[in-house]
Parts: sequence; structure tokens; C-alpha cells
Amino acid sequence: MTVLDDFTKGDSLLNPWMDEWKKQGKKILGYFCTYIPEEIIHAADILPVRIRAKGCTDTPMGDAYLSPTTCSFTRCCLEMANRKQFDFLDGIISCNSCDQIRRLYDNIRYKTPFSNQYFLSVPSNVNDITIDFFKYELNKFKNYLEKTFNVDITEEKLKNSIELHNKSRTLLKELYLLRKKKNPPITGTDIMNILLSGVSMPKNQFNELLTTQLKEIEGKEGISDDKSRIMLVGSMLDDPEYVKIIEDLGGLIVNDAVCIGTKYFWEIVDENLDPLDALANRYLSRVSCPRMAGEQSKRVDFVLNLIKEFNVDGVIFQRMKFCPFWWAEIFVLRDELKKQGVPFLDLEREYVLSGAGAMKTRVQGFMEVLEGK
Amino acid sequence: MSKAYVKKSKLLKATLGLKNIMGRHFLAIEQAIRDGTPTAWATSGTPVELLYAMDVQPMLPENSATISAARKYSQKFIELAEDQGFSYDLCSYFKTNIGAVESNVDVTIGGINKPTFMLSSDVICDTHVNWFQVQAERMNVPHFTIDVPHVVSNTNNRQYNYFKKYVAEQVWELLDFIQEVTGHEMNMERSKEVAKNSYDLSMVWQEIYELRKNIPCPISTKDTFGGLFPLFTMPGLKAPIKLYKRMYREAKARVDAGIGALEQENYRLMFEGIPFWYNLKYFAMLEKYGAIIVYEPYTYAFSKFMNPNVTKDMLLNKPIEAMSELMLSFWYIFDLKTRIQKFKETVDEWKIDGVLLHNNMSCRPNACGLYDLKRRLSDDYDIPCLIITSDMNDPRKMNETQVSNQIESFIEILHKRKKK
Repeated sequence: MTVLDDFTKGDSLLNPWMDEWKKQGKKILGYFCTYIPEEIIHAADILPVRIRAKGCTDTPMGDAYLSPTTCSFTRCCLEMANRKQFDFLDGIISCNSCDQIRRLYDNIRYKTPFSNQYFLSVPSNVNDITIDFFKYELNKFKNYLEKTFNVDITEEKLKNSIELHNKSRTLLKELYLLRKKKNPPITGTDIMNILLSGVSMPKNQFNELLTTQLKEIEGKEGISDDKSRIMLVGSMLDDPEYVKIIEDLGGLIVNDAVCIGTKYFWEIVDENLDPLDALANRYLSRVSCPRMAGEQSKRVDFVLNLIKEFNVDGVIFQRMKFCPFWWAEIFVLRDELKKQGVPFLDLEREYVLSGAGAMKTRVQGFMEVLEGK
Repeated sequence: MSKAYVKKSKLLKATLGLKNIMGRHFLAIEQAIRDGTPTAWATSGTPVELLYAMDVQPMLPENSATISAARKYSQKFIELAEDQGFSYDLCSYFKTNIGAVESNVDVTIGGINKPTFMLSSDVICDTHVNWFQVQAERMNVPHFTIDVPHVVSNTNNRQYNYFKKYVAEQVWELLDFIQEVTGHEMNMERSKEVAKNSYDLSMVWQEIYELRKNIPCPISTKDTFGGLFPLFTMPGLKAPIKLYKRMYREAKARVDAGIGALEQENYRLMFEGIPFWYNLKYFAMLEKYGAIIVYEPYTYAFSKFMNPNVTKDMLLNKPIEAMSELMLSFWYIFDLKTRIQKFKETVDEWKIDGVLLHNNMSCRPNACGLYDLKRRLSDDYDIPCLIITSDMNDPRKMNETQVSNQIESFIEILHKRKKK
């Protein structure tokens, strides 16, 4: 069994690492967004796990409470909470990622409350005032964890946690950089499994596995049967099957700008600053999600740089239906890609993989366009 | 059930003056453009008063979008935006604005000039910020956005106080931004005058709403849907105060004489959400059942001075802090628990028989907050509710027959409840 096989366990809602963690009598907190610092939760000796609605197939209750014109991720999450699928969590941490996640928090609180439920206010722009505010919010969050779980989050623990998470980020970046090669040694599907494990298992174990993984693929012969090198951009995506469909059609994913992807780990936290200052700075200033105002040109530059560095042939832009952030984002990005002559495919999707046939047809067409270039 | 013919509701004579007032607003914009006076696009929910206080002429794209809809142009603009690739499900105000700007049309059908800068905030929705971000980029103008934390269920007082400070700091920053972009300095005397006018305007609007508690209700949505606009386009100016006072006096006279806007008032309703601007006359359909809308959270929300902590004194002495606190008290920022409570109180105070909720297909905060609200109001307080699915600016999303049938059945339910 290879390390990659191990990482496929990360795709399930409740994985063996979480089981093991629970058996030790330790707590798990689910969080909704990459703007919530895992470091603080980890420093409380609690396992932070990114909330996903894996396994949700229909959303009768989600539709009834959140309306069918709400993004399917939020509806699936409410459905899963109502079906007690999140009961392995000792609490949930949410934030104002978007209007819909904000409403979801209230609905969960009202319909299927958790004993521990916390909402972190994350500013939607970056400047000195908002960074100060976010530091205050993070401190409050730290206090909440200390009081609720009767733990002491010392500065040292925070620093250690930051160091551990930075290690993780560095390893992930190292892995990503290998994809710059003409024949990358790893597929986007495998990368997705690795990242899903990364957001749902203890970081020290993840780092060990990832280190082994890096050694395993060192010197490995790369993938050469792909037709094109693709960059994946867009909404929250946590489905390896979605990536696999693209790769099965010959589009090898060589990098991305998604939240369970580069946006999760690309920048490290400054270990020389006061921990909360460093976290507030890093989380607000990192390559952003379109929820952040005034950062659009930075996001475009980030995508354009990666396209160049990773020798990308085309961009697949996948956006969740009813996600206004990504609807708006696409237009500026599309103009820039046109200027640069980068082919671009815009795919609308639901959280649960559906309409795979139609998607395949479009991806196939896109591959033909790329091949013809 | 009786469906006796009921005469159409009576419009206040004063409301006819609205056209002139709004005409003055657009004239002021035209003049500012001609004279080179700074102008700004602003999203609703932002402190427009500060723009007036700094001699910047505000322009409200949402207001322009409603004009496009009322003049039956919104669909054309929306389709134009969709031709460019904007999604079918995206906010129809946003798309109307995209199409109107692209078409470079006249203000009378929703056209809007390029501003000196843009001011947005996420107080009402994320799309406001996104919309301006896209347009600022496309039109190459500076954009300032105010980040407003949302008051969710477990927001405590200490946190709330910090939120106030946080928003105020950003508003101070906004003043610097405006000065930098326009060269205009903040004039505290002018700001006090503007704040006072805004306060007075809101207070008269609230008094008008108080009159709507009377049975029969003296005014209908014919007066309030349009009457709303000066509240968010001209807060701080004197002219709309006079108009509102005239509306108040006329409505009061009706109350004193026991006259309602409807000749026969059978059912009192609340309408939550943004109206379908392209088909306002559709609301008149309710009148054939003797049903009248007596409260709309949407039009009431813009009389922003609803927070008892923000007094007139505070406004005059600390206008920035007051404006900041008001942003945190805006109706659409509230969490589900508070919203349920507020709806319940309103239903009791305005003696409402049923609630119509507009599931606005292109408005996310609106759409994803209605079903939960309906369930709680129906289940916990036995308040009849009906969800109507449509759109504020996109006529393609309105199925008149379906909505008519739903309303007819709803009235039937109200009728049976009355008979009990």
C-alpha cells in the first residue's frame, strides 16, 4: 500500500485518523472556511476539520429551509447537520465567508444546534484597521476555546502550532512545485486526496505522511500521456471525482487557485511576529478568495503568474451555481486571460457531482481546442 | 368567500410630488456632471449623508435599476449583461446596471454616469461589494468599501461595542479617502445639518408608518414603494422632508376621518422583500380581495434611525459614530432569531393577518433567509405566510398566473381564519 492509497482515506467524512483521535478522548471542531485559522484550534489540542458534505445526495430539508436558489454546498451542509452526519464533531466554527454561509450558521443554530458553535467575524478587505480588528477577533476566539474546552492556549503553544502548520504549507508547496516539470509526477486527483487529508487529520501525522510521499515520488517517472496542462480555478471544490473526470479526458491538473488548494497553503505565517499578529496578517493578506474586496487584481496576477510558471495550456473555471462571488470574479479574470491568449472553459456546477455527461462533453471540446493550438 | 368588487386604493395627493423630488435629484446629478462636481456611486446601506456633507453628489445604481424596471427596460439590460457572460442567477440589479452602462442610456430609463468614485458596503449583501468591484475595475474609478460585521445569534454586547468602533474607524478612513480623491474636506457644520435633515426625514417616515397601524390603513404600497426613494437617494436634504410631511398630514386626515386607502379593508398583510419593480400594478390585484399591505420591512428599513441608542443629540455631536452605529442596526444585518422576534412584534403592532414573503431569485441574503423565517413564523406563532417566488428586476422570473393562484389560495386561508 502506497502513501497515496493512505491519502485516499481523506476523502471520507470520518476517517481513521479522526477515529484514532477520538479514541484518545480528544475533541474535533469542524470549520467552514480557509479564513478560520486552524493554528488556534490546534493549539487548544483540538483537531480542526474542514466541514464537507461528503455523501450528501439530496437536500429536501436544505431546500425547505434555505431555498433552492441558495448554493448547494450550504444546503447540503444543513441537510447533513439535520441527518446527524456531523455528530462526530464537538462543535462548529463558522465565519462570514459569504451571505449564504452566514445564514447557514443561523439555521444550524436554530434547527440542529451544536453544543459548541462559534462565529468568527472576518473582515472583507485588508488594511491596518481590518488587520487590527481581526487580531481582536482571533484573540476572542482563543479566549472562547480556552473557556469552553478548559484549556490554556499559551503563546508557546500558538508558536508551535504555527511552526507545525508552516511545515505543512512548505511541504505542500514543495509537492506543488514538482508539478512544474514537463512530466509532473502526480495527478491533480491525487493532490486533491492529499489536501483533503490535510484538512481532516492531525498535522504532525500529515506532515510525516507527506514527507514520505515526497520521497516516494522523488525521481519517479512523470506523467506523459496527458494532452494538456490545466489550471483549476473557482469555487470551493472537494470532490476528487470531479478532478478525475477532467484528467481522464487528458487534462492534467498542474495547479489551481481554489480554497482547498493553493489558497489554503501558499503563504506561510511569519514566525517572528507575535502569534496573533502574524495570524491576522497572514490570513487577511494571503492570496484571497473573491469575498475580499479590493484584491481582485492581486488574484488575477496570482493566476497569471501560476499559468506562466507552470506552463499551463488552459484554465478550467468551475463555479458553484448561486455563488455570486465567483460569478463576479470571472469577468475580470476572463478579460485578462483573453489578453494573454490563455484558453478558458467556464463550468457551472452543483456541490454534488451531477450532469457528468454534459461536463465531459464540454471538457472534451475544450481539450480539442487546446490540442488544436 | 366573498370576492366583492372593491374600488382601487387611493393614492395620496402628496405622493404625486414624488416625481418632482426625484426629478430634482436627477437634475442635481446632471448639474454635478456638467459642472465637474465630484460624484459617487453608493450602494444602499452606506452613509450617503456623508457624501452630501462633503459636497459629493450621490448616485444610487439600485435606484437607477428600479427605474429601468419600471420603464420596462430592465429585461433588455439584463439580457445584454447575460450576453456578456453574466450568469442568469446573478443579482438582477447588478445585471441591469451592467446593461444600462454598456448601452449608455439616458437617466430616464435607468442610465447612470461614470462617477468620480464608488462607495460600497457588505451591510446588506456581499453582491454590493462585488458589483462595485467589477464596475470600478471596468470603469477605472477608485472604490472604497466599508466592512460591516454581521450580528449573528451569539454576538454579545462587548463584541457589539467593538464592532461599532471598528465601523467608525473605517468611516473616518472614508472621509480621508474622499478628501484625497475629490479635494473636498469634511465640513462638520454641514455634516450636522445633513445629519439633522436625514434624522428628520426618517422620523416623518416612521410617523407615516405609525399611521398605518390604524384600521383601516390610510396608505397603501402605492405611496410607500415609490415613496421610499428619497430615503436612500436624498437623506440629508430638506426637500423630501416637506414631501413626507405632506404625505403624513394627508394620511393623518384620513385616519381622523376614519378613511382607509381601501374602501373596504378585509385583510391586513405584510410584504417582506424587494417588490417586483417591473410590475408594481400587480400589487393592486390584492385589492380585489380587500387585502392591503400595511407594512413592508424593506421600505421601513431605510428609515435608518431605528436604534434607540442613536439619538438626535448623538447624531449632532458625533455624526460619524452615529452613522456607524446605524450601519450595524440595519434590518438586513440581523440574525434569524432577531428577525423572527421583530416580525412577531410587527405582526402584533400592525395587526397583520398574513405575511407575504418574496423569494427573490437573484437576491441571496433574501432568498436564503425566507424559508426558515416562514417556518418559524408559521410553526411558533401561527402566523399565515406565503412565499412568492419571483425577482425584483427580472420580469422573466415572474409567473403571474402562478402567483395569482397562490395569492387567491392564501386569501382563502385568511378568510377561513377570520370566520373562526
